[in-house]
Amino acid sequence: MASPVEQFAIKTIVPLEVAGHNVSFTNSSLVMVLVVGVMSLFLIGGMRQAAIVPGRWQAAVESVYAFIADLCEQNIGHGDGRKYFPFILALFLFILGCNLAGMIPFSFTVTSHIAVTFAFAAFVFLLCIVMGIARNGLHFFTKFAPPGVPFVLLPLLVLIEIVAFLARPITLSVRLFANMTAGHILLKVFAGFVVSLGAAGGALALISPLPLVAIVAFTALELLIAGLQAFIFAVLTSIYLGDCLHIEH
Amino acid sequence: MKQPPDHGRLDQLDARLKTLQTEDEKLDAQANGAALGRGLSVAVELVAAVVVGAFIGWFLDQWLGTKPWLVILFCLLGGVAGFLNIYRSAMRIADEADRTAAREQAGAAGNDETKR
Repeated sequence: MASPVEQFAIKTIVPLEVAGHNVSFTNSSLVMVLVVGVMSLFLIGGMRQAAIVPGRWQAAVESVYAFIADLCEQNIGHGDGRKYFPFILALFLFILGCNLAGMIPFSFTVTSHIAVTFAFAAFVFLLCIVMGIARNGLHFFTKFAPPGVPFVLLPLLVLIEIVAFLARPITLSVRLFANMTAGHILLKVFAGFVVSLGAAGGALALISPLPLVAIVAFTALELLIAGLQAFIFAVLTSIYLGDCLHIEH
Repeated sequence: MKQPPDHGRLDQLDARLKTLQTEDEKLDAQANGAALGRGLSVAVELVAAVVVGAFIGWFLDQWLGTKPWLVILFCLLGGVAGFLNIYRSAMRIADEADRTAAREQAGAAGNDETKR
């Protein structure tokens, strides 16, 4: 029986090497390129006519746009939401596209690789620090010293705040990666049950449709998770950005 | 009345009504989704903070030659930091719930007026 983690294997399509580094075009790159293409088509195609009374496609694009615009305004806020809106929208659509592309049979789940999700999270983390310092100067670092704390406890609290801050890119990347990986392994394992129960024969073969029913339910759940995780990534990115731009004290 | 209905204006009115309705629903859905997602992510939050703490402690131990002590200290600090992150996201969810509740009240008052 096929291993449930075989689906995550990276396969080289076009071997390529630049300065001793392996930069081959793989099945992962292929899915990413396709997702960028489909999402661009979705946005550009929907706004091609830009009618006052939107058709279905345009209404879909507009609702995604308004949804993310709301999210930016609420979580980054203070008039900064607009500036980061293109970034958050692109991030959301790309992650959503990758998650959904993984749900297509024989496809590849890009976001089930921590290398990919951590690259996103690390970029968001660095962006937060750079923009935070650019906006607040050295005042940015008072973020780590909560106000109204007794002098004796201050060093301890600063250490805790720093660890909490450094944990952010880890939680951001591990959450997405773990959700996608676990979900897809679950689907594969249950699919394996259908085959092995059927092959066992007798009474066991009779109950082999049960895991199949479970797979249908899990697929629906996975679709929910695909959307939810993309949304959470976008929300947390905007919360972290807002947090670093506006130091409260 | 046998007047032909003015389709253009009717459609516009329809669209406006729909956006007003869906905006309310969308805010609800957004708040629910966010709460669900963050509820699910509590475990990740705690584990990640401890791991980051342990890593920092291990690194500092290597550097300063204080073998086991800083790992122990930073694991504990990581646990506290994890709880701090969880506490903050819980506060944020509560904040958002308050805000949506306030908006719903304002919305309900507005709807009553338009219905009359």
